[in-house]
Amino acid sequence: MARWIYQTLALLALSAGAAVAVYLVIGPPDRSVHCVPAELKEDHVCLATVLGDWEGDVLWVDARGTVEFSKGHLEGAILIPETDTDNQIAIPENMEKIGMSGVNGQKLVVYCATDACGSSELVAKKIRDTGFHSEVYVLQGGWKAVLASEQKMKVVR
Amino acid sequence: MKSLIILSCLLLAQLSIAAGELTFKNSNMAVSAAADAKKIEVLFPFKNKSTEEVVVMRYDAPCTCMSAQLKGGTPISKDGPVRFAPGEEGVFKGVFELGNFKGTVDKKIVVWAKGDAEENPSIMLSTKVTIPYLIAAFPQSLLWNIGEELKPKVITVKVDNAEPIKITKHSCSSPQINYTMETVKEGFEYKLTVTPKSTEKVLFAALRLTTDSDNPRYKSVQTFITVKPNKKK
Repeated sequence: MARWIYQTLALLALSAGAAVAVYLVIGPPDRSVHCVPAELKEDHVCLATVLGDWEGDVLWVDARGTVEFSKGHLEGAILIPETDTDNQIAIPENMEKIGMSGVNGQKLVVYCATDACGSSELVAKKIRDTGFHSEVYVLQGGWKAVLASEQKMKVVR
Repeated sequence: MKSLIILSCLLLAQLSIAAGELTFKNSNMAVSAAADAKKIEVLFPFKNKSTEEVVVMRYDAPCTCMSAQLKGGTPISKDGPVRFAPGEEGVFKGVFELGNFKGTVDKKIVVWAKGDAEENPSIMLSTKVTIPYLIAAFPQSLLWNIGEELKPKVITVKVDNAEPIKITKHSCSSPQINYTMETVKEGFEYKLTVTPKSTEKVLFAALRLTTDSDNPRYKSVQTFITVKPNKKK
């Protein structure tokens, strides 16, 4: 019995040692959302592209609900929930921000909770339909991707 | 040695559990909602047709406007994983709150079975929801380029409903827009003729039409007007 306990403890110690070694050599687990630009749907964009190629200079549109927005959103983001998109876009400050970002050459990126929420595609389409902005993208991975790279962005809570 | 055998057995047991699979009658649904519907429910019945037990670890409807429920199976713990024995049936129910939503949108329920990685759930249940536009503007937006001639442009508003929907009020968010509304057929078709007062300055405006509809979804129609530089130049 004692031998069995020693063997088990030895195996656990070896596993823990291997895990620590991997952590020290490779680093913490990669929690970023998988995103390959070549595999994306048209008008979708990876967070890495937004932060890298575009240097984060975009107008963010949050397509989640009011409650989620108040819990945390990207700095400067405007809230346009999908259930009342037209009326929210028609708010004068929102029209001005969306329109002027397009005039100033700033891209517009819409995010919702995850890839599966479906809200950002709808909101992006509605914004394109207004004619205010022609470079409208959907963030692959949505808010989940933001949280995985939170240290690189400004989140307002 | 004994430990190795026990660990190997545990690993094999884990793998065999992960090998089970739930079979859905339909995992991609298309639903048309009534014009006055406040919410819709979509059912995804399934059966464990495999010879192994399947454990649903968790499920999620990532949109705030949708909630998901699971019926059937044996809960392993309260609000925790649910076990489905071979041959056992269950159903996922998605409830979609429609709000003032119009048009078509894809909604999903995401399900993680035992063994699924966080970023790679094995079950994705899709619903394409369509809610009719009973009243809509064509086109929904008008554009003038900076410096463009001040020629009027027209938006036609049409009602696609047996009962009339009358426009009772109209207003523009900007005083820099001249517009007139003509009734082509009361309750069914209207014509808006729009001209900006100037195309010298950038302008973003909304022309809001209010209707006599009791349904909040069709209570207003927004159209959008833009004056901006032509980027194609």
